[in-house]
Amino acid sequence: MALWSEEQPSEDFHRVLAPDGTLVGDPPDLDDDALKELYWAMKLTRAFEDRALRLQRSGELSIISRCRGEEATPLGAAAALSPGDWCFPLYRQRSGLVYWGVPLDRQLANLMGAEPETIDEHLPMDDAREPPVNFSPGYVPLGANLPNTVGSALADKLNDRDTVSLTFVGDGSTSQGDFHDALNFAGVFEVPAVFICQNNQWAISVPAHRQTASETFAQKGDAYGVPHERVDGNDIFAVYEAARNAVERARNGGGPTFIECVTYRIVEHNTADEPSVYRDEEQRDYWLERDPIDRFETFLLDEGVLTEADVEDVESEADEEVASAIEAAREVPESDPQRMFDNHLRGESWKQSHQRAELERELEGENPFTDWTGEGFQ
Amino acid sequence: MSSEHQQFEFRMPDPGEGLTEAEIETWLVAEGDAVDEADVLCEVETDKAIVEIPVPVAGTVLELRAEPGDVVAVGDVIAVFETENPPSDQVAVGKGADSEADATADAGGESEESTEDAENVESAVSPVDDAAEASETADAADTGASSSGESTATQTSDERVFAAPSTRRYAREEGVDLAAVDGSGPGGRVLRADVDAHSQQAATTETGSEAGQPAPPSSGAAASEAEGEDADAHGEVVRRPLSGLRETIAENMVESKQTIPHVTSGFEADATELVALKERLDEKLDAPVSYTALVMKAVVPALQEFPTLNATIDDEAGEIVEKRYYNLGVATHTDDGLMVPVVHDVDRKSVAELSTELGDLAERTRERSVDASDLRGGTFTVTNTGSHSEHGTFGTPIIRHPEVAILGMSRIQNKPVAVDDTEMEVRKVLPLTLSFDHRLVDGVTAAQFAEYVIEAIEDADVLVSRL
Amino acid sequence: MSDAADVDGETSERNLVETINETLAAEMHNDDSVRLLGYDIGPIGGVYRTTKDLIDEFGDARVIDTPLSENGLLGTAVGMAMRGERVIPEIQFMGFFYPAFGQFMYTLAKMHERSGGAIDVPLTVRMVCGGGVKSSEYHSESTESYLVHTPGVRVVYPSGPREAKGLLTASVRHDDPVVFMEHKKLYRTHREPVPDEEYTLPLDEARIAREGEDLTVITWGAMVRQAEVAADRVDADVEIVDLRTLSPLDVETVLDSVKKTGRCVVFHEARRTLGLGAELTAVINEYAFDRLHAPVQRATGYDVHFPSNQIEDEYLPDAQRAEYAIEAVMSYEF
Repeated sequence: MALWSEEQPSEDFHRVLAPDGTLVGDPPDLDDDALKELYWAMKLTRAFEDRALRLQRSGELSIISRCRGEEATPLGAAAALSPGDWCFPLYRQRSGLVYWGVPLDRQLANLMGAEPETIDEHLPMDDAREPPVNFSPGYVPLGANLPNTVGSALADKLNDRDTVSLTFVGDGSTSQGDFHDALNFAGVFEVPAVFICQNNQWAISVPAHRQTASETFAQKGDAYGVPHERVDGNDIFAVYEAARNAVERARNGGGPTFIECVTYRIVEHNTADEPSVYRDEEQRDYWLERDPIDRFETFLLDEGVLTEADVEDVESEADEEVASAIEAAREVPESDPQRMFDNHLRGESWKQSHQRAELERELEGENPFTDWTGEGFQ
Repeated sequence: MSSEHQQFEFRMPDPGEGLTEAEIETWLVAEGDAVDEADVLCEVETDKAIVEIPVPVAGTVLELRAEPGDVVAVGDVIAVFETENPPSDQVAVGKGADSEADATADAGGESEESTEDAENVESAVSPVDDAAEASETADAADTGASSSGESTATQTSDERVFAAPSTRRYAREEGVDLAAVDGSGPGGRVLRADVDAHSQQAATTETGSEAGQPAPPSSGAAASEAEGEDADAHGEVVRRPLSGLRETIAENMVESKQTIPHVTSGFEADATELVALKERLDEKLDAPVSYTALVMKAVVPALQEFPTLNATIDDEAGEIVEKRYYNLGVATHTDDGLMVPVVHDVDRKSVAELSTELGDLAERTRERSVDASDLRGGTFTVTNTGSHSEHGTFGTPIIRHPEVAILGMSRIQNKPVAVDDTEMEVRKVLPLTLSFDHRLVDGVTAAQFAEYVIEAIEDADVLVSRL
Repeated sequence: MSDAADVDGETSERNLVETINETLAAEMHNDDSVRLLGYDIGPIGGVYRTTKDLIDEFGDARVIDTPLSENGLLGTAVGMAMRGERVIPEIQFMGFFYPAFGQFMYTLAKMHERSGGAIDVPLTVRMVCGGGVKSSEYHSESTESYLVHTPGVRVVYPSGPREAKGLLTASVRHDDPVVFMEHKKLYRTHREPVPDEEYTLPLDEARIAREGEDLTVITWGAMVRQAEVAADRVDADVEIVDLRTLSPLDVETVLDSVKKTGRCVVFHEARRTLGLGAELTAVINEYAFDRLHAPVQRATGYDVHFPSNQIEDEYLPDAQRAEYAIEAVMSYEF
C-alpha cells in the first residue's frame, strides 16, 4: 500500500539531452574521448553496483546504497572539476568517484567492513592510484559534509589558491541545519564552492514534498544570496554544463553556486530498504524511461561515438574490472581488532595502551580485568 | 508411633550466676504428666536461695532422674520429656574445669602445686590472678549457662567483615584473618589498630599496680562510645565496652588457661654477681644495660639445653614442634593493656644490642607504633615486673599460648640469705617464677631448666662461657 | 620542560585574558595558517577582550567574525583545518556549543580516525566556560564531560595564566584537534608572573600543584585556586593534582598520588553525575583499591541546571566545600 501520493517535481529545469537520446539544447564542448570517459564511468559504476548488490545478498558485504538511475548527477558534477580540486561526497555519488579513479577494490573493502588502516595496508593508495581530485571519505551523517566544504573553500580563498570544493546534498538533507549553515556561510564568505542537490525525490520513505514547502530546492539559494541552477539530473550534459559553469565561476572568485539536479531513486534507499512498502512503483516506471545511461548510450551510438561492439566491449571490460576488484578486496584479511584503537590521537595514552592490552587478553581467552594496580595483569 | 515425638533430656541449668550445683528440693510434676512451658518443674536450693526451675518444653514427663535431697551438678540430666518441639540450644556444660582437673590429677607428684594453682586464692597478690581464677570458675560453671550458648567474642566467618581496603591489604600482608578480628571502628569496622591488637599474643603480668588500675578503653572508636552510668539489681554500675586490645587480651588469657595445664614454680637466684656485672657493663657501654637483657642471655642457652621449653604443641598434627630459633617475647605494659613485642634471634645478639633493642621496642610498644610482625614469632616469654612492684614475691604468669613456658622475674632486692649452717648475709636476690605447660614439660625438667638459668645468673663466667 | 616554573628568563605580571591575547598573537606571528574564527572577535576584540587588537595587527583574513551559528562556525573551521589551516574557532559560551555537537562528533573528533589517519584536523577550539559571574541563562556551563566522553579529541583546561600560555601554545601547534577550556571567571581573578619567552607545556601530563602526604585533591581549572585555599586551611597535608588535560587523562600521576596518600577528593565545578569525578573514582577503584584508607569523595556542583544569580554562590563548589570534603575523608577511620 502506498502511503504517499506521488507529486511530480516541476520539470522546470534545464535539459540538453532528452530521455530518448536526442539533443534539445547545446551540448558542452567535449571531444569523443571525454564522452567515452563519461560513458565508461557510468557503465563501470553500474556494473560494480550490480555486482555489489549480489555480494550483499550473499552476505559478503552488509549494506550498500546504490546510485543506479542517478549516475549522471554525481558524474556530471565531478567531471567538471580539475585535478587538485576537492570533493566531499555522501554515499550515493559513486559514479563521480569512479570517474576520477578512486580504486574500486578499496571501495569494496570498505563496504565489506574493513578498518581503513587495514585497507591502507593491503590495498595501499600509491601515487599511481591516487586520484587527481581529492576525495574526502564519504560522509554518512547527512549534511555534515556541507560546512566542511565551505571551510575547505574558504581556506583556498584566504590562501589565494584557485582550488574549488564540490559537495553533494540530498533532497532530504536540505532539511538539516548543516545545509542552512553551509549555504549561509558560503554566501557570506563568497567561497569557491559548488553545492549539488541530488534530488532523487526520496529520503528513505519520505518524499521530497515533505522536506520543503518550496516549489524547488534550487530556489533556496536565494535565501543565502547564492546563485542557483536547476537541471535534469539524468541528463549528463545538463549536469556537466551547469557544474562546469559553477566551477569556473568559483575558480574565478565568483563565489558559490547551488545546483539542483532532478532525478529519481529508482532503487531502494539501501539494501535494508523495501520501497514498494511506501511508494507506487508506477512512478518508478516513468523514471525508468528517463535513465541516464540509456539516453546517453543512445546518443553516443547515434552520433557514431560508439558502436554496438564498443558497448559490448565496455560492458565486458567493466565486468572484468569489477571482478578483479572483487578478487583483490577478498584478499584483504579480516581487520585485526586492535585496529579499532588506531588513529584517534597522536601518541599512546595510558588508557589506550591499557585497553589495547585488555583486548589482547580477551582475544587470547584470558581475563582482561585482573590488573589490580595499573601495573600489570595477574 | 509419631515420628514427630522426640525425647528431650533436660540438663540442670545454672540457677544463679556461676553456681555449679544445686539440691533438688521438690518436684512439682510427676512422671507421665502432660506439661507445658508455663509450668514449674521443680524447686532447687543453691548457696543463695530456693529457685524455681521452669518446665523447658511442652510435652510429657517421661522420667525424673533425681530424688528430693539429691545434689545435682549443673549439666546433669535431671528429667526426660517427650515432645514435638525440643529446644534447639542446650547449654554446653563445664568441660573446661573437668579436663583441667583431670590433667592435674595425672600430674602425680605435682598435684599439690597444681591444686594450688587450680584453687590459688590466698597466694594471689594481684587481681590478675583473680581473673585467672574467675576464668577457671567460669569454666567450671559453664560459660553458656545462659541461653545464648555462643561466645560473645569473635564474629563467625559467615558474617561479613567491614574494613577499609588498605586495612584489608594490611591484614592480608600480616597474615591475619579479618574474620577473626573484632572491629572497634564505626559500625563494627575493623581498623588497622584492631588488626595489630589481634595479632598480639597477650601474656599476663603479675603486677598489682598495673592490674589494679581499671583498664582504660582501647584506642580507636571504642573510646567514642560513651561510658554509661547504669544500675543493676544491686546498685549503681558504670559500663564501658570490652573491646580492642583489652578484649584481645581477655580472649588470649582465657584460651591459654583453658588449653594449657599451667604449673608455676618459684625460684630465687643470688644476683650479687649479676648486679656487679651490670654495673661494670654500664660503665663500659654507651647505654645502661638492662637486667632483662642479661637474663635473656642466660635463658637462651638453657632453651638450647632443654628444647622442650622452646617448643609448641601442634594439636592438629599431634606433634611437638621444637623451635631451633630463639625469639623471646618481652611483656610490656601500655596504657591500653599488655602487649608482648618479640625480640628475634636473641642467640645472635649481644647484650648491648639486646639492651638497645629492648629499649626501642618498649618505647614503640608504648606508643602503639609497633608492627604486627614485631608481635609474632615468639618461642618463649620473659616478664620483668621488677620496675612495677616492690613488694611482690611470687606470681603465676600465664603462658603465651602456643608457647609452653614463661619466666617471670621481679625486683632484685637485698635479702637475708643463709650462707652456711649458721651464718647469714645480706645478699642481692632475684626472685624467678617459671610457669610451664605440663602437657609437655614435667616438673623435673622445668626445675633443671631453671637451675641452668640460675647458674648463669649467679656466675658471670658461666654466663659468658655459654655464649 | 613540564612546568612553567622551569622556564627561565624574564616574566611579566599577566592575567588570563592578557595571556591568551598575547599567546594568540605569538602563534599567529609564528604560523600564517593560524586563523581565528568566532563571534565578535574582530573589531571589539571578543566579548571578554581576549582577541583585542588582533584584527588590527593581522587583518580580517586572519581574524574572522562569522555568522551566528556555532555549528556553521565549527563545521567551517573543521573544513579549513582539513585543508591544513591551523584554525582557532572560539565558542563564545559553552552553553551555546550544543548545536555544534553534530559537527563536533561527526567531523572534528572523527575525521582523522575515519580517514585512517590520512586527514588531520589541527584546530584548537577555545571554549569559554564556567560560572560565578552572575550571568544569564546558559552562560555558566561546565559540561566538559560531553567532550571527554568523545574519543579523538583532546580536552585541555588551564588553571591560570602561566599554565594557559604553555598549554595554549602546545594546543595550537599540536596536529590533533584540541578543545581549550577558558574559565571566564579566571580571566581576571588574578595576575601572576608569566614568562615572556614562548614555551609549551605537555598536553598529557598532570601537574602536582602542591605536594602532600595525607590526601590527594584532584582538580582543574578555576577550582585549583580554591583547592589551594582549602589545603592551607585544613590540618591535613594535602597534595593537589592539577589535571591540566582532562582527555587523555594522566592516569599514572593520579594513581601514584592516590597510592601514596591513600585518600582522595575530586573537586570540580561541573555537576556531580558523570562529572569527571565519576571517572576518576572508577579509575582509582580499579587500580588503587587496596591502598584506599577511605572512599573517594567528590566535591562538585549539584545535579541541577545552573541556578539563578541569587543562589549561584551556594551552588558553586568553593574552598569551603573542598575543606569539608577533605576533613570528611580524613576523619574516616581505617
